[in-house]
Amino acid sequence: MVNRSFEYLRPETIGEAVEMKAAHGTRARFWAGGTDMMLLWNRREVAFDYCIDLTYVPALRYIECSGDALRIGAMASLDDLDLKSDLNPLAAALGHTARLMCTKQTRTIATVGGNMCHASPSADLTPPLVAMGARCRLLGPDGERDLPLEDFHLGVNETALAESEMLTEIHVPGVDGKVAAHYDRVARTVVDIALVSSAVFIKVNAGNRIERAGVALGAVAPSVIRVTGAEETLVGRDLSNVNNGVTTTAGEEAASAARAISDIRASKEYRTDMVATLTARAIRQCISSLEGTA
Amino acid sequence: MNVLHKPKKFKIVGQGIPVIDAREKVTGSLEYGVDFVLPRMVHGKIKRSTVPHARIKRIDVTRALALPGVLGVVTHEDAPGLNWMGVWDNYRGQILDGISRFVGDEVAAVAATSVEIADAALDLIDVEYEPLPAVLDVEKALLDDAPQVREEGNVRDEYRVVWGDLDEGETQADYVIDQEMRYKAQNYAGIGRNACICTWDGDQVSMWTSSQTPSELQTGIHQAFGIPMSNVRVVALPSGCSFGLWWSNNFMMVTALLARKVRKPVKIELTSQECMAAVKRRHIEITRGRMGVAKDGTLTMADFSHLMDNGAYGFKTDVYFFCCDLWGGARNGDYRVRGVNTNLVTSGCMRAVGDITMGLAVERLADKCAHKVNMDPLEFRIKNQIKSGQQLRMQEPRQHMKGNLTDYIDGLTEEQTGNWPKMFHLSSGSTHELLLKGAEKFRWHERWKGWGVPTRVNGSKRRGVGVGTGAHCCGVEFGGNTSSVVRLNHDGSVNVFSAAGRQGQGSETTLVQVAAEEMGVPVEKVSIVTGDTYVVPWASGSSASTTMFRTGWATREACRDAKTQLLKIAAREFFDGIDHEKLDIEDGIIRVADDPADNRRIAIDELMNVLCSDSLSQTSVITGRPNGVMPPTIAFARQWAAQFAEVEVDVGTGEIRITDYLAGQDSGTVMNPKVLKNQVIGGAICGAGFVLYEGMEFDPSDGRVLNDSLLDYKLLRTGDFPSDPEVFFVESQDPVGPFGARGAGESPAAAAGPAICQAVHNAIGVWVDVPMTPETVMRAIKENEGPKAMAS
Ligand SMILES: Cc1cc2nc3c(=O)[nH]c(=O)nc-3n(C[C@H](O)[C@H](O)[C@H](O)COP(=O)(O)OP(=O)(O)OC[C@H]3O[C@@H](n4cnc5c(N)ncnc54)[C@H](O)[C@@H]3O)c2cc1C
Repeated sequence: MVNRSFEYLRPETIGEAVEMKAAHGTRARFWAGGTDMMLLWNRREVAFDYCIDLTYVPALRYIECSGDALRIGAMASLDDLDLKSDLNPLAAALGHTARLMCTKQTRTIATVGGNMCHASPSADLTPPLVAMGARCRLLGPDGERDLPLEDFHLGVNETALAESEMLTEIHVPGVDGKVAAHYDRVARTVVDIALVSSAVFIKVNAGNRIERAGVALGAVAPSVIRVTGAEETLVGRDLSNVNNGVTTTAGEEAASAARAISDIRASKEYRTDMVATLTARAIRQCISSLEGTA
Repeated sequence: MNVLHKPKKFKIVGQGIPVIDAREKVTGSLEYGVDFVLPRMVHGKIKRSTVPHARIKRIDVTRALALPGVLGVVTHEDAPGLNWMGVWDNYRGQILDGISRFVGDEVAAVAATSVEIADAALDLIDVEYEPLPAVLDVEKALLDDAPQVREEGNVRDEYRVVWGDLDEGETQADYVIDQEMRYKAQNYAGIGRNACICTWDGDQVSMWTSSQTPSELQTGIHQAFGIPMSNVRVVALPSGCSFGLWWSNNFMMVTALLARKVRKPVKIELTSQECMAAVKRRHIEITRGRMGVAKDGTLTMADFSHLMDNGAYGFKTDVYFFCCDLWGGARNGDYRVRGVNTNLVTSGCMRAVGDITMGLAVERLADKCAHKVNMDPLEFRIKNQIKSGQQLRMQEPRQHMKGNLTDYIDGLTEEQTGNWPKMFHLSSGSTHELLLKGAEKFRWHERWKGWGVPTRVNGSKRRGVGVGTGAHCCGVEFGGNTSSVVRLNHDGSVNVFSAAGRQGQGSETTLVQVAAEEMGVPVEKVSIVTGDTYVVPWASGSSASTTMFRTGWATREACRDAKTQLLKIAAREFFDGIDHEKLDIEDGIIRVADDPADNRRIAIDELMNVLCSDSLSQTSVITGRPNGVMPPTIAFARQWAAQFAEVEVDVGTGEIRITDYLAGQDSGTVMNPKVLKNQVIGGAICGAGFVLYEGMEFDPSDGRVLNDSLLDYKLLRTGDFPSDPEVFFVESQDPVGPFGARGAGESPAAAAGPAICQAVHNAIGVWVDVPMTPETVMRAIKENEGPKAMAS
């Protein structure tokens, strides 16, 4: 009762890690960078008898393009995202997002998988990944599943992970061609979690017509919100047609989709207003990068 | 006594030597309170109240005592009548008296063989509370029928400064403007925690803890436990940033109680939540004011009423003479201040107490007056702020508050006070030169485009510039006693014993510089003890920007005393009975001053050898102490700051970024430019944080602190401040301070808020309430239908 302790396990392959988790079920927890786990542990908000440290599973740490997909291993660090910014425009957007997060020191240990599995409503990587249409791969003793990231996050600190499953990869399919994404947030100081955030993804065809768009909001609901209304406003338009009227309408769509609450960080009204501003700005940012490459 | 400063070429004063504990700091070997351990030491934890106000009806510790590893528990039953008055009115009250006065107040403590066991035992103490009505609002606490937090009642005597005639001032004014400002409490939020380690052997108490006031803590223990001061040993360890937090606090007394109970050394180490929610904070404050201005820019009146909540154990009521001094050019004035207790965590003096709050209100109202008559804020300050030689406004009422000049000088001879500066008049310095020099460096006249006019607009981003000023005392009241002892050793090295805090302000280094300069020895030959009350003479501690001025003065005087003794012997033994005042010491060598032709030289160590081998001398070392009487600093000395900021405001989101910063400081002679620069920038960041983000949030139902961690208590990081802020100094020589130096730590914190707020106003054309969070900025813009280009 007094001394809290656990057994430390160190798998070296994905297979070993999954086996360990299957053997101990809910009595075991994965430890990625530990930046969230450490706080949970100190605040006694988590208890486990086995800690499975994923740090020494090299097969989980990569960021690469293969075929038409951007693939990110669960153990890629936030700093890896920053360093891989020039891989393609989407990696650039994720790199930009990573640089808004934590500090350099924390980014070198915190992981993409941890950010996804902790499932915080203000996690910065969720909105851009959801906007891009990212999917995640889960591996358990019974095999692998692949599901949209949107369906992975069920609520505050709640995911679709089954008792003995682990997240192995985030991948963004169908992103060859002309794409752009942008994420921004309002935060208080340089090190802060997002008070409100918005991400936009746009893909245009050879004729510079928008063929796919994604708009996703963070910190305005228990999970990330997809704004289909805003996406519909954009799809089918010529890039040159996306004027201030369009971005404002898309921003308004986003504001009405948000389900913000008031807390000590910000009020519902402010968050809602900012959703509109950030969304409109992110669209303009995407347009200008696409025009730059057009 | 000669208190008048004779300018001379300094050898050590003014050198930017590295702080003497730099190596220990960067290698992590410096020992703070949390690092300190003693053999046989056990661990304590504090049981804290879960209710804002209650009498403890029953407290049952049997289950806790039954837990293996628990060595003892203390409750109010172990502490009958235990209280302390402290030294300042800052903080005082009962220790474990069976009444809980805020959520987090101490109700009991456990000692056990491990931290974990002590922690677990807390849950096994059963407390039954009899709830009392609580008051969580500072204005409600003023009302006659409000629940009373303290035996003495909630409301402290009003402190008031009056000069001239307000009605007269109102008649002379072409415009009278009023304003109300409300401030949230700032958290000290030092990046570091504290621990207290105490042992009790017989009636001998020893305590190690990070503290900026070792002697005050010694007095507190002496008073609370009724043991002679000679039996109380406090060793104040470095605290890292303290800002007033690690002064003297109840948890130190609770550690002493536990140590007495279990008769073993006990360590209580606070968690960061305890540091941020259960020790102390800045006051919640409200300033209402009116200022009158004539068309030519003359301030004709200043009428301010200020309220500050003291929380549970704070006792503050007097601070604001700094603000009235700074804007003392106003022809007529009336400043009223009241302190009121509430059932919130205790408040205490935090860096630039009163200046950061009421000072900001005064500066902002003055800015509004300047705007009304369309005068440049810089010119307006030059026109209306106090100048050297002018009368200080704090004179009359201070006489009735605590201590007064008459008592202070009672019994002193004309010879002792003859050289004092004129009492209640500003002896040196002002904002004037700082503003002129700063304007030039900042290119103020080029960058300032008028009131509410941005210097640059780029889409939704607007830039604006602002200037702000600050002042503070250099040690308080007619008390603020201090002393210093120096010892000259055989080998010519010097030990300095001065009670001071080591809170990152570098006093241990600058005091060594004072001693080395006066003794004429290299800094490497001087070492200092600041914390151990077994050896340091009593001093009020490092608060109220005291240390350089008052303890520095005492250190220099002590060195003079030792030096005189030494030179008298030298004159007799080696210089044929020459007048010892003709001798001087340089680099440890005694020689005839100002006579290069005289080549007689004797090193201090040689002379000390002679002294020791003289069987009649009956001495082995020379000790020095101050001989003169230090004039009451409060009655003449102030420190000055003028700061210039450029900000960029995003009018789409309300985010503010500081893009350029210049800070000017007049603290008299600069003892060490690196140390002073550090103080100035640290102060500016503290003030900037207060007006941009910082503010404690209390649960409206029971007053508990909601943002008790850095997750939601937002401090500025270095990344939130320009990476290359410039600092410049004006060195108006002080007539009393050591080598002309004065205090420094607090005025820079006061000047930052006004500069940044004014810059924001100039960027967006709207005054924003503090803290100017993005949301508050947007609300201000909306309410004032500010910039139409609310660009999204
Ligand atoms: C100072 C500081 C600043 C921060 N700033 C930000 C910020 O700006 N934005 C932001 O979004 N977050 C921020 N965070 C939160 C945190 O750093 C991120 O969420 C981080 O990405 C978490 O990754 P991790 O590797 O440390 O996760 P861990 O703490 O190791 O794990 C988090 C959770 O995920 C589970 N988990 C980890 N990997 C897997 C896996 N492969 N399969 C299944 N479950 C897994 C763990 O069991 C745990 O429940 C900050 C944290 C700190 C301490």
